[in-house]
Amino acid sequence: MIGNVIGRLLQVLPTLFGVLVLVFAMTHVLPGDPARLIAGPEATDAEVAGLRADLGLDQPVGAQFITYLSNLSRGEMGRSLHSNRPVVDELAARLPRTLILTGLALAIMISLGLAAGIISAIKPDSLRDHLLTGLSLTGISVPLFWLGLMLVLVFSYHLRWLPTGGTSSLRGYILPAVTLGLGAAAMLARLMRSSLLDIIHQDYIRTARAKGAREAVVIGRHALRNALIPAVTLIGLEAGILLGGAVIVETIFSINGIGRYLVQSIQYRDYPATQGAVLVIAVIFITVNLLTDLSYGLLDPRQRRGAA
Amino acid sequence: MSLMRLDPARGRIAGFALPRLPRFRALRNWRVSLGGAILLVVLVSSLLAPWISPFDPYAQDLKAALLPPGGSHLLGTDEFGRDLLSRLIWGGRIALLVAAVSVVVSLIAGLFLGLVAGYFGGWLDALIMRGVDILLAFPNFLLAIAMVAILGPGLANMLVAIAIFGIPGFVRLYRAEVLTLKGADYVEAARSMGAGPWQVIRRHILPNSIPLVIVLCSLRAATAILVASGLSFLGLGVEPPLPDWGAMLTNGREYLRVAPHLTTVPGLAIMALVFAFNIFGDGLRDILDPRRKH
Amino acid sequence: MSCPAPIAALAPDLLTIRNLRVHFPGQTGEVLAVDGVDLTLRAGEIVGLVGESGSGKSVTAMSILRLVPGARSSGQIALEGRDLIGLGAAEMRALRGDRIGMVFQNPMTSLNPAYTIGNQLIEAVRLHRPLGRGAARKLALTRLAEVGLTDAARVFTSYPHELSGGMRQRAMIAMAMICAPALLIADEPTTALGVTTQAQILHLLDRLRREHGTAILLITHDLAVVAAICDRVAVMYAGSVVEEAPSDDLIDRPRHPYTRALIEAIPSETGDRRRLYSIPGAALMRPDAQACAFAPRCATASERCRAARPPLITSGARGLRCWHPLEVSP
Repeated sequence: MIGNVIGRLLQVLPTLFGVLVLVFAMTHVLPGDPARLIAGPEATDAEVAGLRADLGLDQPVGAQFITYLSNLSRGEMGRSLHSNRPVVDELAARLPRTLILTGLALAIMISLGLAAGIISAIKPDSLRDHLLTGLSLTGISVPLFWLGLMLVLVFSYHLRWLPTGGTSSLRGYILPAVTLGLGAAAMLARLMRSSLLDIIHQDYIRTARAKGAREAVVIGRHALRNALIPAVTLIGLEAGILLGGAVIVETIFSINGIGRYLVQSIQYRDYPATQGAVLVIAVIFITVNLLTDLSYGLLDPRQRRGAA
Repeated sequence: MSLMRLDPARGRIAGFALPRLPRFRALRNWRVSLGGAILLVVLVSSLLAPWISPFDPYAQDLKAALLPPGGSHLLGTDEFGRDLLSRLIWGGRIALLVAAVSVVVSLIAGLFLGLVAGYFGGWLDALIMRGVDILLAFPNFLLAIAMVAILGPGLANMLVAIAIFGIPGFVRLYRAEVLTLKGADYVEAARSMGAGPWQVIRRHILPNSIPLVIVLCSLRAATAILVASGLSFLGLGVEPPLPDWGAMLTNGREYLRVAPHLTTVPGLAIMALVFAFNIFGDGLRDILDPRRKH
Repeated sequence: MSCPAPIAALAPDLLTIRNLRVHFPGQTGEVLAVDGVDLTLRAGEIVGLVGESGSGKSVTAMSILRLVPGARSSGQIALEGRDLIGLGAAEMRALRGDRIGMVFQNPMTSLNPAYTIGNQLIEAVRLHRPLGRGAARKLALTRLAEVGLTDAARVFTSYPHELSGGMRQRAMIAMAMICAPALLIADEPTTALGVTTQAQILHLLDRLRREHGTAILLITHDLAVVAAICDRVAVMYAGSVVEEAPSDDLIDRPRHPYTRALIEAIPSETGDRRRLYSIPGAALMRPDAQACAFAPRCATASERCRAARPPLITSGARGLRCWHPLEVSP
């Protein structure tokens, strides 16, 4: 088990390195000159050259990358060109809101997605299966921002049940989290349905019935446990989709999280901030995937002891 | 043995259109036919846009701004008095363009890389697959945003961004396809008769992969449209005044209280098109892989 | 290693199947998978049900448990005098795993990969017996030892993928036998196993029926398996039993042309030079109900065989469904 964990960690390293290269390259493959951009249009050539030296941009690219890495290792991501505050501080202040939002969305996704998938699979081709299948097909086709706006239209403007955002209380997170979680839940429901239906035809399900188990036990104990294995993979991947979606949802509902920060920094051409935000989101995603990889071991004994 | 050497794609008398795919059964699947019908409607109306749209999609008429649906403007007008229906019809062109261009670009790049990785193996394979892993390490949408951040906003850059993150799926598909077919008897037979790699790829691997590729293209097109509209929504994609559905929706957002149709209608259009691509691909996949059908 | 088993001959009837018919309602009309099967098992007896794939032998077996999805059965299946076809779902469930045990063909896929062997055995006990975990565990370990798993404690804590095919099949048998059922149905229990393991599993089944008095319905396509342990054999073709006899009798003196063809298809133990005998033609899924189902493949078929379906005629211990039985050669 411990060897397994270390193995997975080692596998993540090249990916992490690649991500760092990509994020670093974001500013260096650009057609423009970051120094000129930072200095502004009125700066003289001498000022730009000075700034370039200050930023280390006159160094060879390899050296710049090493500097970038060593700065990162000390927790430095540079200063935001827009606010002139350290990017790390700005990200740290916003991270909790993004984590609350995606965490709630994840919870919605898992509870709704699992439930819908199971209900569908128990009676395939029944009316409720067709209803749920139609709903989940619609769910994966709805543009996130549109769903958000429609929810605002109905629940905030017409019914006046819920606020259109705001992060002072959890109530403000309800609509954003539902917006973010519904599409992901639809995807999970589809996966659960199809993997449960696959599993229901497995020999060991027949064995469970031949033992005299009730249908609830057959599904709940024998089928579900095995269906959760692919579901966990999807949940890991979905975490990435949720993080990407958080960018949109935070923008719609004016939540000052990392996603909205990213969009704003792109609009301001604030490169250090953009780099920092992309890096943080990518690292969260890699971490979540690592955790889901490791959780296989808990669900699937075949992964646990490394035997055939 | 001789039977097993018959390539299912080449063993046909009537040529190769959709090998392995029972052509008529495909239409009996409701998802394939419904999805196909919606796609056909969007395609035809976009092609005929200059003739069937009731107004000029760019013509402003501030006296007729923000009209609700009904009357001479069937779906109402936007804040500049532009006819929503006409913009919707013209917008179909952009949506289909986004889907087609991004999918074709990622298909060609993925095809090339996947074939190379699968056919030649070794360090080339390792290199390509590591690259794919790194691309997949970014959440899809974030990658597109990052790309646009590098390249700057605009239709062309957005297409590049969407196309790039579509590549990994095709690389994996073609690599897997090549690895499976490499061992197939009829491919072995062709090689033993002196067929070169390119010949084997062209005559055997490409035609055999067509059904699966159609499925993947359809599902990718759905994602591409969703991502494109998301980028446009964030102001990183298609810019006004182009009648892009995502951009229209973003504009309409400011009038959500007074003119909700500006948001509702383009959103429904995006949803319908994405839905169509999704069910089309889904239905096809079920036909191709009966084990998945329940 | 056949055994005349005089005990079995005197024992009361445990399972009687009368005129069992199983339909699958389909889009293109009904498919008749089992067409009038009659079969009797006495307590402690091993009866082989032999036939090619598609002959309806597995459907017959699964019909006893009422675990054929989407099928409709008619006729009579009585276990210990109770009719199973009319039984309520809960009563039927109470019989499965308790009075009727079942062993499947593929031990690789028939055990749930997510749980340990012990966990699955304990579940099987506690579904039917009001035992605590400790007592159930003890029973499970006893059964594991009984089926020849010498290291029962280790097997108990193992996951299926950690065991060999033969060990898994033993574990599967231990699970099926856990409540000491009156009837054990074994569907091709040795087909997926290697030759030596096959023989061991057959010995094990034979031993278990002696120790527990469990009757065994052994479904197989392999007459060699039948010859090894069965007291009696019923040969199925296209959904019905065409010949039934004590196994020695059947193998030495087959009377149905199909049975003889099956016997000739057994590879001989001595000479590998002898070519494998195969029966020309393929079994029809939906034979003409007005004819003998085997007639299209039968060398001795006459007009009569193609015009009327022969009835099952029993005399003594044998039963036969043929218009032109083979002469019994000395």
